[in-house]
Order: sequence, then C-alpha cells, then structure tokens
Amino acid sequence: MILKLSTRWLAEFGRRPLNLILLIVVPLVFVTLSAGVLADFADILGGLGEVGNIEAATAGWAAAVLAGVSGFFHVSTSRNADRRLAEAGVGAIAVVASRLISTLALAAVSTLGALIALGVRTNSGLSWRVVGATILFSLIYVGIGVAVGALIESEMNGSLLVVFIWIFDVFFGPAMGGVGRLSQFFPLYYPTSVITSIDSGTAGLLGDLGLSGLIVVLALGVAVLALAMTTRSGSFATKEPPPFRRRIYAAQKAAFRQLQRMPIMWILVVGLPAAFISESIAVTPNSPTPVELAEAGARTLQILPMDEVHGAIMVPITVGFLASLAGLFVIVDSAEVDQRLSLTPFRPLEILWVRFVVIMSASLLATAISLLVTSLSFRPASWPIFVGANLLVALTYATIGVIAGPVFGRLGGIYVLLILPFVDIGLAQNPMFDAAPPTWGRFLPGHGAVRVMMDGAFTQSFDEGLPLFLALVWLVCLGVISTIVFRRVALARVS
Amino acid sequence: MMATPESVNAPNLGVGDQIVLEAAGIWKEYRRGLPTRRRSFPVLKGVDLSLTSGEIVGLVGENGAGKSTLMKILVGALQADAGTVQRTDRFGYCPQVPVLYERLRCDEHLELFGAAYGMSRSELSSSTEKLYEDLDFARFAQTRVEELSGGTRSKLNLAIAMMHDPALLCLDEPYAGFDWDTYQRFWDLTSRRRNAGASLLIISHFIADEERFDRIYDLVDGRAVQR
Ligand SMILES: Nc1ncnc2c1ncn2[C@@H]1O[C@H](COP(=O)(O)OP(=O)(O)OP(=O)(O)O)[C@@H](O)[C@H]1O
Ligand SMILES: [Mg+2]
Repeated sequence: MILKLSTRWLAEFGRRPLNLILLIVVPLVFVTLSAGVLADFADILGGLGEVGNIEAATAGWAAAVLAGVSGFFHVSTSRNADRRLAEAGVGAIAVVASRLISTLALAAVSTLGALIALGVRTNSGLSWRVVGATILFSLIYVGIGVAVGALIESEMNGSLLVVFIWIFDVFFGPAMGGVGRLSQFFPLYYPTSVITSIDSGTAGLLGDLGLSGLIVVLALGVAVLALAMTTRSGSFATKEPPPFRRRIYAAQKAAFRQLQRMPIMWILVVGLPAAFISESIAVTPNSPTPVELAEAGARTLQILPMDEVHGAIMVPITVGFLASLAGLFVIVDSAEVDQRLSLTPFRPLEILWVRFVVIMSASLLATAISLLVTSLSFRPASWPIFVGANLLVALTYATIGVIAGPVFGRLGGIYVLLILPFVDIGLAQNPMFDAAPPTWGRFLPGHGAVRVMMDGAFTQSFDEGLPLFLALVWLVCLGVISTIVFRRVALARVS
Repeated sequence: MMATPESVNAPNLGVGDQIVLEAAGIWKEYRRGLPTRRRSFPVLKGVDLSLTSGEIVGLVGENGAGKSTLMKILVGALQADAGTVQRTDRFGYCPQVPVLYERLRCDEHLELFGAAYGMSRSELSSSTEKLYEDLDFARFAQTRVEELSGGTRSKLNLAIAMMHDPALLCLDEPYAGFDWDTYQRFWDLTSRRRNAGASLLIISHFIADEERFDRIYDLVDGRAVQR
C-alpha cells in the first residue's frame, strides 16, 4: 500500500515535467552561478571565506532549499486529499509514510542535481564528507518543509516561512560570519561546520557530525508528528474549520494577494533599503564622531567611526519610513471595502488583524533587506539586540502608519509619514548630529527603540532597560490607538 | 401568497408573513462646514418603513432625496441620529457605487465574501456558479476588478450582496450600467428569490420598474410615503 501510494504520488508530480526539470536545473544553476559570488560575499562579511569550503556549502544550501520547498508543497497541496484518504480506511500511518517517502524521493533528485553541479564546478571530485553532509542538509529541510506544510494552511505563508528560515540559515550561518550565539540554533549551523570541515568548537561531546545527525532525527521526527497529527482520521481534518478561522484565512490570503499585486510597495520595500543604505554608507567619511552609550551601567561618551554610526542609524530610519508607509497604504487602500466586509459576520478587529499581518510582513521584508545591506559594511556588536530593536521600530511605525491614513487621509498621511520618521529617528535620535538626543527628542516614538539599537550596535552587553520599557509603552499605546482608529474606519458608523 | 381583501393596500402582510426589516422614526442630518460655522442639513426626518418576507419593495425619490442614506442606515453602514432599526442578520447589501478591491479578481471576491458569510465550500461553489450564469459574467471570473468594465463591476457588486441567499436584500440602484439583457435577467433573478421567500428592498428611478414592485415607498421631504 505504502509503495503503491508513494509511487502514484511521484508519478503525479512527474506528470508536470517542468517540476522535475526545475528540481534538477535549479540546484545546477544555483551552485554553478552562485558559488563564486557567495564566496566573495561571505568574505566581505568576514565568514570562513575559504572558497573551496563555501563552494561545498552551496551544494548543501541548494539541496536544502529545494528539499524544503518541494516538501512543503508536496504536503500542503495534498493535505485535504490525504485526510480523506486516511479517513477512507487507508489509515493515517500508511498515508504519512507514503507522503514522507515520496517527499524524500523528490529531495534525492534535487540533492543529486546539487552534487552533480558541485562536481562539475570543482572538477577535483567530491569527498564522501561533502556528499554525506549535503544529504544531511537535504534531510533537515525535508523535515522543515513537511512540518510547515502540515501545520500552516496558507500556501503563501508556508512557503515564505520555509524560504525565510533558509535565508536566515544561510546568510546568518557560520559560513557568512554568524550572528553570535543565536546562529547556533539555526538548523544548518552544525551541518555547515561538517561540510566546510571547520570545527564549530561548540558541539561538545557529540561533535559537529553527531549533532547534525541529531538535528536530522529531530527535524524528521517533528515532521512525522505534525503530519500524523493533521492527517489522523477523525481529527479536525474532515470538519470544516469554525467560521471565524475560515474567514480570517480567506481574508489573509486575499490581503497577501493585494499586497503582491501592488508593485510600488515592492519597489519601495526592496529597492529603497538597498539604494538608501548603501549610498549613505558610501558617502560618509570614516571620521570619528562622539556618541553617548551605556555600558556596564554607566553612560559614557565614546568616539566611533562616523560611517559605522551612519550605517547603524540608517537601518531604523529606513525601516521606520517603510513600515509606516506600508501601514498607510494597506489600510487606506482597502478601507472602503473593509467597511463593506464588516457588514458581514466579519468583526472589525479580525479585519484589522488580517491587515496588520500583511503590513508586518512587508515591514519584516524591508527590515531584512535593510539589515542585509547594512551587514555588507557594518557588523553590530550584538546582532540579536540590533535586530530586535529594529523590529521594534518597524512595529512602532507600522502602527503609526495605520493611524495616519484614516486621520490625515491618503495624501496628508504621506506627507506626515515623510516627515515624522526623519524628524524622529533621522534627526532627534541621530547620534551623528548630537552625541545624545535633545530633550524634545525623548518624547518622540522612536527614542527608546533607537537607544536600544545603538546599544546593540556598539556595545556587547545590554544596558538600556528603561529605553526598552519606554519603547514598549509607546508600542502598546499606539497599538490601542490604531485599534480604535481602525474600528471607526471599519464600522464607519459616523459620517 | 394569498392576499386577503382587507390587505389590498399592503398585499403581502398576510398571516404568517415574517417581518424582516422594521425601521421607525429614522432621523439623519449631515453637518457641513468648519466646526465653528457648522450647518446641519436634515436629509431624513422620521422615516418609518417595514418589509415582510416574500415581497419586492421599491424605494423611489429624486436625486438627493436621501434614498442611499436611508439604505445605509438600514443595513448598518451609517449611524442614524435618531430612530430604531430592527432587521434580520441574514441580509445582503449592494451599494450604489460598486465597492470592490481593485486588485482582486471576481472569483477571489466571491471566495472572500463567501467565507465571511460563513458559507461552506460546496455552498460557495454552487452559488458562485449560478450567479456567474444568471448575471452572465463567468468569463470575467479571473479578471481583476481594475480591468473590469463598469457594468461587470456592477454585476460583481450585486453578486456579493446575493451570494449567500439572504432573507433580506437591500439593493441600491443595482442595475445601473446593465445592458438590456442583463436587466431582464436581473428581474428574473429577483422574482425567483422573492418566490422563494426572500424580501427585497430596491432603490429605483425608473417608472418602467413600477409594475415589478409589490409595494412602493416614495421618499419625499425626508419621509417615506407608501403609495
Ligand atoms: N457624506 C455626506 N456628507 C454630507 N452630505 C451628504 C453625504 N452623503 C450624502 N449627502 C447629502 O445627503 C443628501 C442625500 O444623499 P443620498 O445619497 O442619500 O441621495 P439619493 O437619494 O441616494 O440620491 P441619488 O438618486 O442621486 O442616488 C444629498 O443632498 C447629499 O448631498
Ligand atoms: Mg443614491
């Protein structure tokens, strides 16, 4: 039964030959084209940087992302059919096993593609170590893809999640310089050490290989569990989910489509950080500038290179600006129809939630790209604090955007949002103008988060508890106000 | 539906008919101008109106009489200054100007609103299929609203209001922009719904429509007068 099912599913997959071709072509192209480029890039980032090693890692990365994505779709698109099958008496165990086997077969194809590409490129032959490690990469992402596919209903959200995990894994992994201690928790951290044959030094008793094996077992275990849980007959599977979940799901899907079809948003979110940040870092001289920082409980004036300070401060400026614009556009763009939607059983707060998820996704993307561009020339002392503070800025300004649209209108809102982030983060909080923010600057929404950001950028330890608290208070207040404003928009009972 | 002799002026208020909409003393004024020199324009001055199941009721009046304002209040899209509205929860509203997401396709709209109304997948697909056919716009199912003609937008606008087969339909000049063929199909559709027990309130300008209504309210001087 298991054999019959899994071969049938593979045949189904193969019925669209493009799928199969892509499975081989993508790793080929990825490895041949990107290995050199990525190696240079990793060099700049201060990673391991030995070209041969990175080259080997690219095969693993290509195999991983394809295994993850094809695993995701293989499970996600057939979830309902699988449930029905399990229900019809085939049994959950057989269905899950067959699904897993056919997914692994697909992963094997892409792994093969990646290894062939690597073999062609290096022409010095492949070591068993590289082949084995590439298989480890691929298995781990099969686990991730299948688990996400089983648990997350939306195809768009799920596939994005898999890709995001992979991006973080690759770009913040040890081959690219790492994110300090945090990167150890990414699934490919230890396998990367295996494939590049550079001891991570933190693997302990099991060693890098042992830990990698453990991660494989863990990933596949979680995948099987997730798949079994959602396939089991008599689970929530065959029932339709409750109405409120179905409508939120439908609205979320529609909202992402709207965003996806808004080209201006993409140009802004992707293009602006790239242009903005790299340009301003490039034009800033490397001259010293005084900055007030907190370290070991005391505030002191430190002298820092100006281009680094500029690199750091440009991230929250860009992120704040883009997050607020995303908030404005997404809300204003659909306000009128959201009103219509609120005449159905849809509750205004549910609609707000849907819109907010979209706004935050756009903001997260802008943040990720800003961080990536900045990381080319600047390495913060503490990545987690630096990233966290910028996310705080993104959240804060996204809510400001949500408020600005209904209050000032589309055009008025744009003007306000062109000015506010620059006055707040670009001027008041900007240490390039003043070592410490002026008094009036302390009353602006970005104050706390930017202090935390500077702390993460230039000091090892975290010393900005009060500013963090302040930032959170701002966030909560703005969150409440935006909720009230949006409720009024959606209900439109006043005129 | 049997009309008793006493109810000649209100043919559908026979025994067993359910009231699906009842409005009393609706008052609404719009305020214009700066807050310091704000002036009020009363549009509705105590409207009383009621609908029972299984009738098509017309709401007529000249431009600017307040028909759309009244309908928005009836469906809950606008707050009245005074008065009460009692209405079934199972209603659909078709606004005068199509209110649609520009970048979503027709079937994406129907999918979203279907989920919002709490329709099951099978209900959704059968209702969608029927409406595409009845209003004749199936070939635009995959077209984004921003690329649709005005008439097709109106069709989608109407389909969204009717798709969940509500007990009460409030339609604000739903056929503006329809061609003659679609206009005929529209009246077929509404009378079928009426015969199935639904109640329809339709805003209209056309004298020609009058024979299609079971009852007509004239909106004059901010009040609804039954003909
Ligand atoms: N949002 C608003 N603010 C101020 N005045 C308004 C507003 N909406 C409508 N009005 C005014 O209220 C009056 C009634 O408008 P309404 O749209 O209800 O008319 P109508 O009977 O539907 O007209 P039509 O046949 O043209 O659709 C008009 O004088 C209009 O100018
Ligand atoms: Mg009108």
